[in-house]
Amino acid sequence: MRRWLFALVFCSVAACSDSTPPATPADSSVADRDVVDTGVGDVTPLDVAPTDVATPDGATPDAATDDATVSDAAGDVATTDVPADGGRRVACIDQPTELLRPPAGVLPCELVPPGL
Amino acid sequence: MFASVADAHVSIVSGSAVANTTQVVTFGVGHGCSGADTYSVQIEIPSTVTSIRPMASDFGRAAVQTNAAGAVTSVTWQKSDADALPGDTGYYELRVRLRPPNAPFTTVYFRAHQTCRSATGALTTVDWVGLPTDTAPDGGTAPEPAAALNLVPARLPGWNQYTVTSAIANLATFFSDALIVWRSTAAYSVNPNTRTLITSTPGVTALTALSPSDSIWVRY
Repeated sequence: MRRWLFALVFCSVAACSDSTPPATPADSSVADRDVVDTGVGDVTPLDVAPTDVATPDGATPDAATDDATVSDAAGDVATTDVPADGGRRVACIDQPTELLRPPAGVLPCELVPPGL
Repeated sequence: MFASVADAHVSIVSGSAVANTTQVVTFGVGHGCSGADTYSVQIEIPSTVTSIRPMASDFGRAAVQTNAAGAVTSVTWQKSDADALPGDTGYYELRVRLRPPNAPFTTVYFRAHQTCRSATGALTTVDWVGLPTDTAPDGGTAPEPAAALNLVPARLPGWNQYTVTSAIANLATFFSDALIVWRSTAAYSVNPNTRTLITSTPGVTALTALSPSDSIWVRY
């Protein structure tokens, strides 16, 4: 039971510390979907760069623990390190290792006849 | 270009607006006039902006002025005397539901007239009517800037392709919330880390401005 509570606390700390997409449009309420405004038919996934949220070392945000450390030896203790600057740094922003590239070729939405 | 006033004035604080879409736009009134509280604000509505419906505010209900055709030409909010503050201590927001023109990647300017009321009841008016093309007259100062509403096209998360219809000198004006913008092999991003990557990637150049008819890909 205590281990489950520990896991829950750990996951909460990790999620809050590093899972916010840094450059998501402020007015995007459905930012998890990759779509193109076709004007016709359904939205179409076009994501060609799945690495856009990867950290420089290749880890995914969910696995990143740079702001949190855990004392697993005790089994039920979770602590959060204070950053060297006392927490006054600006929000962490994306550090991509490769550029997002636009899709090439004919878009799926262009294959949809007008009016559908 | 504009007079060097405090960065808080009658300005749009709700960010960019989607072209040709009905939405609420918020005007912020950052300060009064020389220590006097803001008493009323009149905002002129450009003829290209339609579907005007102002919301009530700290100033109470708004009044609309129309032309002979019935189109709203301005909106005015005015406090009751009892609500006037003795000093310039308040910040106000005024909201209007409106529909901007179908002209993405352009800017619509709203001229505003701010009237303040001192503790003794004296009224003064400041006109926020300057446009980027205005220049200061000889020996004078340029008018205070009008509120600027930047229009962006409709978008969905992911890749969006657009054709630009007018020149864009400052890409941050319209793409500050984009992950990256591509025109052919040139790219732009507001993210400094991505900008560094752009300049260090072989075959990729930095995109600094756009011209009419440019086709671009934008990732939101």
